[in-house]
Amino acid sequence: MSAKSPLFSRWQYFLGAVVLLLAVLDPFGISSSSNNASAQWLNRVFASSYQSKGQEKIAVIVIDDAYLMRNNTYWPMPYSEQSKLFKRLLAYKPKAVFVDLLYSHDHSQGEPAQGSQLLANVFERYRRQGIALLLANTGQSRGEDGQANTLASLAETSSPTLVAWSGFSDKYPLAVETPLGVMETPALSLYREYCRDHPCAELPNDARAAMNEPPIAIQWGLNLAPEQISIADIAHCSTTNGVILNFLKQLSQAVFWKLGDSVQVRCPYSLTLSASDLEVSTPEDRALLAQLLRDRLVLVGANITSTGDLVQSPVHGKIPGIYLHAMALDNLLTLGMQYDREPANLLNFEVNWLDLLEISLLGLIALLKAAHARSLAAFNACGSVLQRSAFFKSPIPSWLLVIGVLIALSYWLHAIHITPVNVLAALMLSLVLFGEKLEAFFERKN
Amino acid sequence: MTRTAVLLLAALFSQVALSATPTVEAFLADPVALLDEQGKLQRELPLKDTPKNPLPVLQYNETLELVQVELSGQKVWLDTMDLRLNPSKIVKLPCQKMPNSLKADSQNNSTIGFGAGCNQ
Repeated sequence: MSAKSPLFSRWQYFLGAVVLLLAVLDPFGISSSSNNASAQWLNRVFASSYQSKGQEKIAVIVIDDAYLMRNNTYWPMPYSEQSKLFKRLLAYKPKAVFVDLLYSHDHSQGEPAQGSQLLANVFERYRRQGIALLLANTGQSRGEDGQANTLASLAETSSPTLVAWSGFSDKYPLAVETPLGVMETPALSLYREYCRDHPCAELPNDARAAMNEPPIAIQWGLNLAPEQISIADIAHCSTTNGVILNFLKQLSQAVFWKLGDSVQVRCPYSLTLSASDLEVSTPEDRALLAQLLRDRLVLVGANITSTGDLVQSPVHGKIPGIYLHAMALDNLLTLGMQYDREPANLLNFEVNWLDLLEISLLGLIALLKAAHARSLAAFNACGSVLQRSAFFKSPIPSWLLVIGVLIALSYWLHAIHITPVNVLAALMLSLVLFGEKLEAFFERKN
Repeated sequence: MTRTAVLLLAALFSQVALSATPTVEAFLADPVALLDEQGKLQRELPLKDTPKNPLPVLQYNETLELVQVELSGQKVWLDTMDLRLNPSKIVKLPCQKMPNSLKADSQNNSTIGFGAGCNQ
């Protein structure tokens, strides 16, 4: 290759077009998987620096196996047991309560002393006191084509929030069109309750406006709430050692995951109370619960073996589904409507400008690699007569340029709350710049 | 001999039963909810209008945690969360171990069966 020859041959242009096509079409989902792996790794790296602004306003109540055994009851819990549980919770006057239980079948029909009306009575009583009660809803017409949804008696005493949707991948929508109309999801419904007393910029006017907003690319936090220690034994929960050490730990785990126990288990981020905690009767303990629950946005969910409501968190592994709603709400409380999101697709294709940006980054690496090859070829052709540009004497300046562009790009995307570029892929591909150096090294060895 | 012992025991336990009759010592909520036996709200009573002296509990519904008392000549049900009872069950904070997440690759390929309370 001479100094005057074009940077790329026809064959290389063709190869570039194939790479471009592969990046756009994403056959076998390899590119998407790589993007997800990169985004999840970045979430793990920065989870320890996630702000606690939202955490201070949220509490999660978990109905677990221990609670059922302690009360000698069963799952699904009888309505009398549930009415006790909810009146214990609501007596502490939380700001709003979302119940992530689907009351689709009345399992005590014909027994008024055990029926769903017992629970409806409790909901009705506290709703009159101004506590917003949001109940899980599938958005389907109950009974039509065998579709399940909330019982009428309970739907009348609460507000519906959508807990079932599709078409958003692992993103969390704010509102979705359903057979019952446009419905908001729990995170936005609870955020609206919060915004009644606090200024919230750019809050969508209604569910239809919310539907036009992009879904949340949820960022998970890591550090436990400071109050958690007052209510539960957290001795076994892993602690963090700052962003730098966490970065190094995550990097080593990501690189050497095959050599050790790569699977992480952690305690959930949101302040968590067990349903058993609500049974306390001593004045001191009740005062503590009042301090933890009053005016909070409370989410009630279940963690019962074999009930199946588990979600995948990049930071925690598998956790009860209620924490997904809690973390989406946390993102809204922390970032407002400037939450992290993916850019909109271009021309109804599954391609957005971030994909094009990634391809441009790939192009930059290819360009630098070709420029290096040409510089080396010219140098070899003319011998030491030709003075090589300092930039091309070593691949390190080019590599630093790529890394610099990558860092600047990532920072800019973070500032405008757009999901990050595929950092891992860019880092790996940037190593091709060292190809000739490595070849020369091994040739010298031989 | 046996009859005397039975009488003595009966007298003893009736005294215990009398002394253990629970009373409402204080109202903690404002307003206090007056309910029916199913926990449905009938009306609300401002805290300032509640009786200042201890009120004897007429009935205790343990299933719903409600107590029946007589207020102004009317029998009503109250939520135990709104009251301080004497004697009352002491339940302390269990201080449970904070649950850990499950490993990302953990699996449980089963569905919960009917609980003990279902007659199906």
